[in-house]
Formats: sequence, C-alpha cells, structure tokens
Amino acid sequence: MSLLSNLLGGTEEVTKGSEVSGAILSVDVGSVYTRAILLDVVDGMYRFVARGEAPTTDIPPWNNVLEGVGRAVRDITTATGRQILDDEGELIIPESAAFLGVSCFTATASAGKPVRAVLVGLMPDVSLSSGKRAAESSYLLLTDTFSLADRRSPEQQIEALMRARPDLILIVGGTDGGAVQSIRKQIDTIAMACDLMERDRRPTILYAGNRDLHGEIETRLVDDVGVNFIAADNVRPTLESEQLNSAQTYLAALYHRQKLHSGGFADMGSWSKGGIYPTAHSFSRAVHILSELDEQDILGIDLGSASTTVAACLKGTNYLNVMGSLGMGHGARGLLASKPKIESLTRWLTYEPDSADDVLDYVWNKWLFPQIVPATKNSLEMEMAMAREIIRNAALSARSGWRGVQPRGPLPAFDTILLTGSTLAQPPHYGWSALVVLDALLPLGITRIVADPYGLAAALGGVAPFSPRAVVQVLDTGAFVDLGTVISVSGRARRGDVVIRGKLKPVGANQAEVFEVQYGSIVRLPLEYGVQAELSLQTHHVDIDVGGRRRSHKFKVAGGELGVILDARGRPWRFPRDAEQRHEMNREWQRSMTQEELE
Amino acid sequence: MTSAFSFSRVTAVTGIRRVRRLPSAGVPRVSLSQPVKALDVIAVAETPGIFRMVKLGKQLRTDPKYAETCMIKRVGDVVQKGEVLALRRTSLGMRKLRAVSPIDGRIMEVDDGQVVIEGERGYQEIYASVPGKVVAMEVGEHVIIETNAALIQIAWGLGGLAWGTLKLMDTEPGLDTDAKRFNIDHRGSIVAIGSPLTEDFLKGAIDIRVKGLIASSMHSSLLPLLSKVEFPIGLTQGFGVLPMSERILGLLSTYNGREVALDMSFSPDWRNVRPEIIIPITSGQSSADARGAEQYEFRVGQQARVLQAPYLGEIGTVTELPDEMQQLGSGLWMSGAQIQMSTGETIFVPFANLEYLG
Repeated sequence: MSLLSNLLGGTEEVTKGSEVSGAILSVDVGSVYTRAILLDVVDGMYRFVARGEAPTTDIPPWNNVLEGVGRAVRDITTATGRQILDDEGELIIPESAAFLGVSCFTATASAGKPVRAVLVGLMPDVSLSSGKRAAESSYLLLTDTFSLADRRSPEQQIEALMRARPDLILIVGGTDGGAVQSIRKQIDTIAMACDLMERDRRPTILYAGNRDLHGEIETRLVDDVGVNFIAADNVRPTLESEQLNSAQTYLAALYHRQKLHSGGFADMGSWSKGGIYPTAHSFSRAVHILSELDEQDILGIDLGSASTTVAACLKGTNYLNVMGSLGMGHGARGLLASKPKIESLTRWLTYEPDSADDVLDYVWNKWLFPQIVPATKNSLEMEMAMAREIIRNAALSARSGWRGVQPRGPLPAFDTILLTGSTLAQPPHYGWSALVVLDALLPLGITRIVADPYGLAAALGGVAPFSPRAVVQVLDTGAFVDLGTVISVSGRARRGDVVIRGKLKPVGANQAEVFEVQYGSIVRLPLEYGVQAELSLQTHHVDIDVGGRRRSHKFKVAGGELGVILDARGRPWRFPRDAEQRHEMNREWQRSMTQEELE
Repeated sequence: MTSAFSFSRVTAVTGIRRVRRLPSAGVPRVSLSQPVKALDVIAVAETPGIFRMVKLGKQLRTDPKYAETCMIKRVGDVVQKGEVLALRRTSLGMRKLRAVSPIDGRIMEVDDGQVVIEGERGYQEIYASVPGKVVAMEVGEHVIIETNAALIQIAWGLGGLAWGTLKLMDTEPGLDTDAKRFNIDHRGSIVAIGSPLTEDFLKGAIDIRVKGLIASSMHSSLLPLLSKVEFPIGLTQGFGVLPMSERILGLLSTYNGREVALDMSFSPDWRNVRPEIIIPITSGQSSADARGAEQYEFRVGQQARVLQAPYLGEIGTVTELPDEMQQLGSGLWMSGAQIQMSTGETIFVPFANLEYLG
C-alpha cells in the first residue's frame, strides 16, 4: 500500500520508514512526454545522474503508460549501464547488486482524464473561493458549483448532479462552530441525488467544511446513502483564515486512486511507496523546499501541454494553482476561451501574419496536435507569444488567492522564478525563457530566473518524503540552470534616453566594465556562470523598487547562463501602434536576449 | 528515440474492430453475428428524467415526519400528474388536505417529509458508427463490431455520425474553392472537396441539404457557424488554408460513388479518437488492428503524416533516420526523420511533428 492509498484507507499516521540510501528512480507521466530521472550517490553525495524521455503512451494504439515508461527508463540504462527493468519490464526494486535495480521509485502524473468534480459551498467569496483554491491544487475538472447564490431549485440541483456524473463532490462551507442550517440543506440535496444514482456510480464525498457537522454528515451520507466519505480539515475554519493542506492532500490521494484505473498506472503505482502524485503537487513541494532552503520567496511556473501550474511561496505561505485547461497543447483552446484580442498574441511578433485567422488557426492546430514543436522561426515566435499569454492569465488567476496582494498591479517581489515545461525550460536559447517570463509577469526589482530543463523539480518534490537528503544534495549540486539575475526598472522616460549608468566588477577582476542602458531596451551584461560580481547602478527617471527610491544602487550578483540582465523597458510599457516599429522593437529585444541576428 | 507520438490510419483496406462502450445501464439491441449499418441502433440506455420534490409537511400543513404517515402511495409507485400522493383530514374532519404529484413519473424516495418523483426517463441510443458484424457484446459494457473497410482517419471533425453516398467534387488538391458547384445530385450525399471549406461553400451545402461534408481544411473563424449545421463536417488536414493530401484525395476518388460512414465524434484529446471516414469493402482481409503496439516505431519506408507548416496534414515516406539530432529553422535541436513528400521533395521533420500512419 502506498502513502496515498493509506491515506484513503484511513491510516492516520503515514509511516515514512527509514531514509532511502541507494539509487532513486523518478518517473513523471505528462500529457505528451514521459520523463524518467535517476538520482544516485556519487562520491558520497546524491546527484542527478541521468534522464530518459519518451512519448507518453496513454493513447491508442498503446493505451498503457508503461510502454512510454519502459522506453524512458531504457534510455537511462543505455546511458548509465544500470539495469532497472527486468526482462518482463518489471522494475527491479530494491537494488539487488551494483548497477542492478533501484532502492526507491517515485511517480508523478498529469496525463489522462482529470477527476470530474462538483464543488458545494455556502458563500461564493468565502468558503467557495477557498474550496476552489483547494480544487486547483490537483487535476480536477469542476463541472458545477452549488452555493447559496445558486438560484436553482433543489430539484434542478439534483438533475444537474445526476447529469454531471461527478467522480467527486467537494463540500466546503461554514466556519468551525458557525452556521449549520444552510449546509444541512445542501447535504440533503446531495444525499438525495446520490441515493438516486446507481450504487457503483456514486461519487466520493470529500468534506472540508464546518468541523462541528462532520459526524452528522458522515452518518447521513455513509449510513443512509452508502457513499464513500472522506473528511479533511475545514478549508475555512474562520472567516479570516484558510487551511488548504489537508484537503489538497486528500485530493492528491483521490487523483492517485483514479489513476490506478488507467492502463499501466496500477503497476507503476505498485512500484512506488508514495503512490502516484499529481505532478503539480510534487512541483509545489519542490518550490516549497527551495524556498525553505534559500529563505526566499519563490514563484514556480510549470507550463505544460494540458495545464499550467503556478506554485508560489510568498511571505511564508504556500500557494498552488493548477489551470487545468490552459496549456500549450491540449490546453491551447483554453487560451481562446476568454476570446482574447488577436493583438494580445500578435504584439509579440516580429512579422505581420497574413490575417488574424492565421494566428487563431495556429492555436487550434496546437490543440489538434498537442505534441508538435515549432519548426520555423515564425512558429517559434507564435509559440512564445502563446506562452506569454498563458503565463500572464495563469498568474493573474493565481494571484487572486495570494494574501495581501492586489488582483491587478505589479507582481509581488519574488526572489526567484523557477521555470519548467519544455517550452520554457528547453527553448532553442535560454534568452527566450527569460524574455517570455519577463514579458508575461513584469517583475520589478531584482529577480533570479532559474530553468529546470530536465524536469527535476517535480521529481525532487516526489522524492522528498523518502529522502530529504537526496533532494538537498541534488539541489546543492546544481539541479537547475541559473539563467541569471534580472534587474527590472519601473517608471517612464523617452525611448532611447539613457536611464541606467553602471559598472560591473567581477570578483578578482582588476577593472570594472562600465555601461549605459537606454530606456525601452533589455540588455545582457556578460558575466560567466557562477562568477560573483559587484554591480553599481545610477538610475535616471526610473526606479529600481528595492528599499526606497534611491538613485544609486550596489548589488552583489552572480552570473547565469545569460550573464546579468537589465530590463529597462519600464513598467508598464506601451507597444507602438505602427506595426513596423513594433516588429523592430520585438526584434531588438529578441536579438538582445538570444544574441541572434534576426532578419 | 524513433517512437511515434501519435498514430492514425489511412489505408485502402483493413480489418476494423470498433468497441462501442455502453453506459452502465446500456442494453444491447443486437445479436451476435448480426450485420449492422453505421446508423443502426445497437444498444439503448436509460437516462434520468426530471426530478420534482413534494414537501408533504407544507402541503398537508403538518409536521413532515407525521406527513409521511399520510402517504397513500409508496416508493416505486408510478404516479400521474395531479394524482394524490398523501392525504390528511383536518382536525375537525371537515376538510381533506391533499399532496399531489406535479408530474407523471415514479416515486423514487420519501425522506424527511419530502417525496422525490422522477419524470419519465429518456433513452440514449448508441449507434454502430461503423457498418459491419457484431462479434461480441456485454450488458453495460460494450458491443464490438468488426468489418473490412478502407479507413481514413482525419485531423478534426464535428457533428457525429452520417451514412451516405460519397460525392467527390475535385480530382486534384487545391486552395481555391468554387462554392457554386452544388446540384440536386448532391442532396442527401456526403460531399468531399480537395480544398478548404469556405463560408459560401458551407452555405451551399446547407441549402442543398447534404448528409455530410469533408474538406481539406478551414479557418477556425468558421467554427461559430458550424454550431448551427445539422450534418457532420470533417477536415483532413487541420485548420488554415491547406490543400488535401494527395493520398487521401486518391482514396476518396477510388471510392467515389460508394456508401461511406462518417464518424465525426468529438474528443477532448484528438490523439485518442481521430474522426474517421469508413468505406466498407466486401473482399480483402487484414488483421492490422491486432498488430502489437511495440511495432509503432518509425522505420525507412514507413508512411507518416507531417504535422508542421507548410506541409500540415501531408503524407510522406520515411527515407532516412539520422542518428544525430538536427537543428530546425526555429533553432531547436531535435531527433527526427527525412521524409519524402508526394512532390518528390525531401525534408527533415522532428518525430514530434510526425504522425505514424498505419
């Protein structure tokens, strides 16, 4: 039994056992790619040793994820000589000899059907919004929502439930010790609807509302109706407080249980002590660990094919939002759901599409063929334009739940932004990753941008419960690629005016490099990877929002893949109306970030 | 890595095995070995009716629990609109208070003084979707149909099923669509063109009342118009302005005038269920469906559908599988294959942009 299965089985205490000491294999089954990661002890320290990648095979003709898992794992065997699967394709666990098998296996997944769910609560702005945030921590498809604001009669709600055929009903509402009557009414409707459903089609009920009603509701739904009932902590114990962890963990467990019914997942789940975690859940855990280790506020963006995950650690609180139908492939249609203006995409291009239709057709074809990669420069620009809009929308949606943060306005100051997903973390040039995320999020002040090209973040999040040591050591030995520190300014000036004058003096260098930066530009200062330097800046007409409005700043910075980046485009900026000027501006930014000559 | 990311079939003759999943209440309406047509109903399943709740306590002006004892009908009883469900004599015995059924239906539940009545149930019909012979079935599970047919799996479709005579309007792939080619012969047939679907052509198809429409491509901006169209529409290549693949046009040309089935069912992941054009063939045998999944690796000579502009939807042949990754125009380094197109041109295409054709 895995940790997640134990949780649903009612085992209160999750036994973690002794820390793993040998090779660790982690597999993530995404909507398009299945990735395998091998961590092993080298010279007394855990390191990221090898990775394998294969197309996900949950679709015909395979209909079994193990095909893809096998191929990805065999890549690792080819690279390292370690035999991980036996002749029957079964995982060799535990490690039985040198280079034979692994000591620990962890699995995460985002592929396949989401859990169909109905959310039931009381006040739309209180319990329901907390319930929605809990639901957004996993791959859930909310098919309906019931609340006090719902004008439907109980009959209509019953009909809606019968037609929705949910796998799960998430019930929230009521502060602990608060009102009970309204919840009881909702429960009556749910009980009646469940009673009318065929016994084997009844949804699981996850109750995360007023604690005082827990026993009564359990009796009503389990004894009278016979549904599978799980109680989590109240997501809104008081009006002012929110606690989502318990509900989120149970949602992860329910996702695991649903996955076990899909081809190959049951075998994969049986290899794993933890079960099959939602990728987003593990990614969020990794962001949390990084935040704790570095004592920083960190924003993680996982731009996937079917969904986009925003995981944030801000001022000691963790947030996780999965935009289940917003992504670069399967979720591309989600980008069009809000009927965006075509200009929101074309403004990022260096060329004028023949028609608005060309832009929309590109997005629709991405939905039809989610695995495709951009083959030409123009299609790469379209892809990156989509990425900007998806990230912008996902962040806007996520921040509505961040405490003390205005829904609109500047992004709160994050020390680090971590990027994963092949569009962001495996571009033709890392300049694209930085440019896209800066354009989409418009951070201010000083931000470090880090890419996760090997898909390690979710793997490390999955490994953490079994070997925290492995996670810390792999992070210490450079799991991610540091793209560099970005200094972004706010304010307005005339395009072309010099707004930053500065000096960059690498540690040990005799001379500092002197530079000027014009308003409207983004520049990369050369500084070798990992080399520390002192950066002195004098600003004119613009501000660097760090500790008051000083004109003179001194920072210690470390070089990344892109050196050090100065974003002097101001916040906010306006795009020129003239198409040719706009194209030239985009060319300039791309050239500057990717150091490529554009036609 | 030479593994395919997705798979579809464009083939002149093949054995087709289609598993039609049934809802849990689905009951087959066919027998084993029975021949079926695409639009034959092979199973039916009950769907829930509307629900109405009657509050006995309120209507009988008494305590809900006591009101339950006044019921003259029981759970499971069939009732008609206006029929008395419960009756209570007032304390003086002068008046009778009645609770009546608001709809025709069946009493499903009596709980806490409330009666739940379910209206007449609907029926969902499950169609064969493919003409052939029933080879297996199980209540609440599936009906399996097998046939020999030409099979063309295409990029996108909408509108469900259709069965009719194929009328191909073009002999060559093209980009210009003449909308004024409809005549009375096209009424009730499945019309195919080798060029993109346009608004004018769509209006023509609606006016002449075709049974189905196959085009090479169309602009996605036409999608809102399709919501009002009552016949299925399929695109062989995808969205945009793209000519039909010569191979597909050739197959449609071969079977022009034959009865064909269109299955344009919607799928949230098109790699799972591609829309299909199925042309039943009485002779020829193939067991291609039974092929082992492990064989879906690209090899020299393999047919593949290209999924990148400007060849989106074109079918070519693998001529070489380079060992090394190659750099694309976008700057990405990818593994892939050299593909010879029907024009004779050979291009490098990453595996991610290729669909394995069976």
